[in-house]
Parts: sequence; C-alpha cells; structure tokens
Amino acid sequence: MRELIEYIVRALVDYPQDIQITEVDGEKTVIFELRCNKKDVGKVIGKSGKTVGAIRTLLNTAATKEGRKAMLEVVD
Amino acid sequence: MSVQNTPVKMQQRAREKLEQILTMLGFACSVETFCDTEDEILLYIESPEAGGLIGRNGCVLDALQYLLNRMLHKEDEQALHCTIDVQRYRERRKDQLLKEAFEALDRVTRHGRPYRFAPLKASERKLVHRALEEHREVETYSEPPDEYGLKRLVVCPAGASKENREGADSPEVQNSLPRGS
Repeated sequence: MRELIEYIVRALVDYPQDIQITEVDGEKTVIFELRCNKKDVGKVIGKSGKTVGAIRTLLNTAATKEGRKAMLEVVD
Repeated sequence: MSVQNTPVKMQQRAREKLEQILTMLGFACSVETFCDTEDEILLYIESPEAGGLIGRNGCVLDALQYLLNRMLHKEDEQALHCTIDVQRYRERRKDQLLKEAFEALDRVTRHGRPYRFAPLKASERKLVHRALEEHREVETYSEPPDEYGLKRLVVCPAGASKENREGADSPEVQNSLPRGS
C-alpha cells in the first residue's frame, strides 16, 4: 500500500524527492502519514480534497483485500 | 508534437501506469487499449474481481481514472484523456441511464408532470441532457446541489421549467428513486 501511495504521489508533484511516508501499523487499521514539499501540498490534496480523496479510495480498495482499513493523512 | 507524443506512445504509457497501479492494488487483470476517437483513449480492464474495481456507484473506477489522468497530464500536458472501463460497467450504466431517460420522456409527455432522477454525477447528467436534447416536447435542467453537492436532473414538459424550478421539491414530483439507491 505504501508503494501505491508513493507511486501515485510521485507522479503528481514537482518535488518527488521531498516525499516521505510514515506508516503506523495497527491491528485492524494502518495509518499513513504523507509529508511533501510545501509547494506540493495543494497538488496532493487537490480541489476540495478531490485528489487525496481518490488516493484514499484506492488505498481502501487495497486494504479491504487484506481485511484491514487504511487511513491517509497529509501532514505539513 | 515530439516523437514521445504519438497516440501509440500515449496509449502505451497510460496502459503501463494503469497496470502498475492495479498490480499494487492486488488485482489480477489484463488491460487492453483502444483509440476510437482522436482525442480519447479507452482502457478496458478484464478482471475476475471486477466488483472491487468498480466500487459503489463506480467510485473506485472514477478514482482510478481521475488519478491516472492527473499523472499522465503531469508528465505530458498534451496527454489525451483516458476513460477506464471494467467489464463494460460504463457501457451498462450508459444503457441503464438512457433507458430511464426515455421512460421519463414517455411519462412526462403523457402525464405532464416533471420527473426527477436520483442524484447523478456530472458525466451522467450530461448523457441524459444530450439524450433528450432533440425531444422538444420536454426540457431538462439540473437542480442546485444539495448539502452533499449532489445534483438531480429534472425532466419536465417544454416551457414548464421556469415554474417547476421553484416548486420541484413538492411531493408530487418525488417520483424518482430515493437518494443513495
């Protein structure tokens, strides 16, 4: 799932080298925290959160297959 | 246009990216590309787990399509728009909407009462508006968005749209499916 987020986000931003993803594993839930360059925050989130919403949708599709839940936060 | 931008190259890049994402999602599937019109690429996914890739109301499919287009556009500003379909979901949905549109046309012309669709996505409303465009006996319009930002399309007798715009919330025109179905 981490690779999925990284693959998508890298292709959307201007500064892919600044992307950091931390993973907090729980029993049923896994939380991902995404850090990126300040200038890219808007690109990752998108208009009214459309982009991050679409990434979350895909992330949950992947998580459901493993019987888990996934959350994604964009941290700055 | 550089050598990189030929339609064949574009199709190839779109397909590679989509396959990569699908693999990371954990889905076994195959992707075929088509280029029916000059300004659009169709990516057709064949998968035994189609339901999961479509999602409720096609939400997973829409997320995939939106992100793929964003990624391709970032790489090449002239990238063609891609439509993704799984097990002909988009086609089946289109047929279903057209069927409802013509049933609505029939009902409105016979009874003269407006017909409200369940909330639809922009692309779906466009389809219905276009389908009924040439039928001058009815008019179509979209209601303002509700608190969730969803809009309903209304079919009403020609010339009646103005007055119905105010009264469309009255119970007698609540003849479509309830929200969420």
